[in-house]
Order: sequence, then C-alpha cells, then structure tokens
Amino acid sequence: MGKIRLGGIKILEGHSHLISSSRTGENALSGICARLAASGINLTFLTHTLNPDGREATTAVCTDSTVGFSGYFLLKLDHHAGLDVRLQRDVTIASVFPHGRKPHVAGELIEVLAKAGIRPQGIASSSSTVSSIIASADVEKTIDLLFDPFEFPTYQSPFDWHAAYRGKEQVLREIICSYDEEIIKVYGVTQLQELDLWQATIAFSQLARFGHALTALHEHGVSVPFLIGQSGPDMSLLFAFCSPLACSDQVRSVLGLHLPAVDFHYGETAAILFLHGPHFGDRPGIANALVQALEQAGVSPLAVSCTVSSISVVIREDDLERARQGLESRFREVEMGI
Amino acid sequence: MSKKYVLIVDDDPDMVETVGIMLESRGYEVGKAYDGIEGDELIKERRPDLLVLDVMMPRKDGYTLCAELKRKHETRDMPIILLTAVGEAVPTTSYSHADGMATEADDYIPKPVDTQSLVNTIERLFA
Repeated sequence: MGKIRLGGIKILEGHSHLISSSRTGENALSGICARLAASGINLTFLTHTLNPDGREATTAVCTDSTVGFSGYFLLKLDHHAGLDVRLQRDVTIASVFPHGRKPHVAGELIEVLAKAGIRPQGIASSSSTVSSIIASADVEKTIDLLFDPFEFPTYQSPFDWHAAYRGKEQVLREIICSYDEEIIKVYGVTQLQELDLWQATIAFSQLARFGHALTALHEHGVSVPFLIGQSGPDMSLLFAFCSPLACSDQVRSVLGLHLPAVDFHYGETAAILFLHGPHFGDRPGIANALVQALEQAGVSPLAVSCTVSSISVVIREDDLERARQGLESRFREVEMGI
Repeated sequence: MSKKYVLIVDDDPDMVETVGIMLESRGYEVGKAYDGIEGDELIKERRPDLLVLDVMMPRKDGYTLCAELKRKHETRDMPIILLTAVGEAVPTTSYSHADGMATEADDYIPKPVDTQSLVNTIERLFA
C-alpha cells in the first residue's frame, strides 16, 4: 500500500495530561469539567468513557503546562468525588488531518508509534483530525515517523516540516479568546445514528496489532467516525470507537482475526453528536457547557472526544432527541443549510 | 453548467471540514488547504473561482497571501473573502482590521462566521 496523502500535522507542545478514574461512574465527567471550568482552566484535549457496566468512568484532559498542577490539585483534593488522579507532565499533542472517517489514518498512526516503542498516552478524534498525546521527549522522533505512512502536499520530509514550522508556534499561541456568550455559538451540530460503540483494553504489546486492525477495517470499507484511547493500568490503553451498526459482523470478524485474545465489548445502539464552534479549543468552559446541558437533559455520555475545535459525544441512540433539546439550551446553531 | 470551484484555506481542519460540507451541499466544488503555502500551490495548479481565506495561519498568513494574489495579473480578479478572528473576541492579536482592508480583499468576514452571511457573500461575488 502506498503512503496515505494527508493535509497536515499540528503540534501543540507544553501540555500536562491529567487522567482520572472514578467508581462513581456517570457523575465523574460532570464534576471534573465543572471544577476545571470554574477555575478558568482550558482543556485542549478531553476524552471520557463510561465503562460498559456503567460503574467506572475514565476521564483524561490536557491543559497548558502552566496550570497542570492547579488542575491536578483541584481534582485530587476533592475527596467526595472518589477520583484516582494521575498527572503526566511535559506532553505534546500531535495531530494529523484530515481522516475523513477512514480508520487507517488512526491505524497507521498507532501502528507506527507502537512499532517504534512510543506509547501514545491518549488518542482523540475530531470531525477531521486524529490527535495523540505523546511525551515531549518523543516529539522529534514522532514527526520523523509520521513521514513513513503519510505524505503531505507542502512538505516532503521531516526536515521540510521543521523548516516551515519551528519557531512559528507563536502565531497559534497569540490567539487568546475572550468570548462572553450566554448561548454559545456553534457552526454546526451534526449527528450520526445506528452505530456500535466498541470498547476494549489493549496491552502495549498488542498496540501495533490494534493499529493494523483499524487499517484492515478501512480495507473492508468500514468507517470509524469516533475513536479515543486512554492511558490505562500497566501500560495498557483503553480504546473506544464507533462503527456503523450495519458493519457489526465485519468489525467483529476483523477484530477476532487480528486480536483474538482481546475481549471487545459492544452494547446498545449508539449515536454521535459532533459540535464545532469558533475557537472551541482555546476557550475554557465549552466542554463543561456541553456536559451540564446533557446532564440537565438526563443524558449520560457514553464517550466523549474533544480536540482541535470540535466536541464529539457518543450517547445511547434512544437519548438523541433529549440530548439535542438539552444542547439547545446552551448552544445556538448557526444556520448551515446542510 | 460546471460547478463553481471554491478553495478554502484555514489552519483549523475542523473549520475547513465544516465550511466544505456546507458549500458542497450548496452545489459548489470545494478544494481544501491548511496553510497559506499549500493554498498558494493549489491556486497555481488550478485557479479557483473564489477563495475563502483565513487570516491567522502559521507559515504564510492570509493577509500576505491575499496581497500577493492581488498583485499577480493572473489572480488579480479572483474574488477573495478573508475570514478573521480579529475583533472583540480576540483582543490580543497583532493582526488588525486596517491590515485586512489594505489587502484589497473583496470581503472581510469576522469570526465567528455567520455561515449564512458567508454563503450570501459568495453568491453576491458570483452574481
């Protein structure tokens, strides 16, 4: 197979990664987002999963490194939440785009990192992008590795990329937003229905095989509009991804072939809501507004992914109408005419 | 009649995706680029009927690319809409409205973009 042609790479350095797990399950996400938003801490990355039994939840966020400790203590000192919180300092968010819902983009990214011995500490997807959290010490090596499976139109090599981008991060960092909206403007709320949500814990030794399985799903024509990975115990990663209900048998067959020893769980029919708005990646409180709106509507997210300027939330399909009504209380959708 | 070809250049890939879907649903053919250099190269390969151009981008920014295109004979008449977050919501940037007006862009739409305004502007420039 030839290289996959993509649009670009985005690197966000100088971040801290907070991973919390909770046995209180569904309430953990709401509490975490509320505490961090109340302190004005922006989340450049967020993933959340509710375990299939509904009793345990894992939430991971990235903040600017200057507020990493503050965020850690905010969560750690709240004894009532029953949170087990870990802090990983000095991480970088490395993103490639666009993925076009084709799972081989994430698959090749995961496989090339795993084969090089780099463990992504988190994975998130937006409507266009796949992002991975890596240790900042691995950034140079990661950029080099990205040129193995991918090609980019305006830089032919890692050297070209460095020449184009190094020292120019300031252009991105100078965008400091001060939106003050009671009702948050959003460019679009897009929904996908009739989906499976697959969840599994993948050992680091199996990570390359999981990446290969995602590539195989693409070869079978299966789309994956949502994918997250979270740092788990003993170097494992907790993955959750969505695929069309109509492809259940193909997905099960591919996963069984590539990862026969891994127990993939999939539950009731799921739906995804994608929200994309101006500077969502730069503004504190956006994820919190979404989570509170869903909570007030009586909807528990099964999984959440926030990266770049989008939020993707997986819910039970039966909750879709209530979720949309709940979001209308906090988000105003611009007429897209789609 | 062939579709009008609109090129979107923005370093926010989610924005490119969203605006792209919206324009495709309106019957436009859409090209996508993620920074000013890539946008410039795509324009050399195929001149778009209209360019939607973000301002703040790494590598070559929208003001620079717009000014270059307006100086070239072959792209001088190509309509350009600048999208910019410069304004009340982003008070700390070194980019200014005055810089934007100096580029001779055909229109200048502040972010957050009202997409209906964007469509109206595109249709007005094509009229």
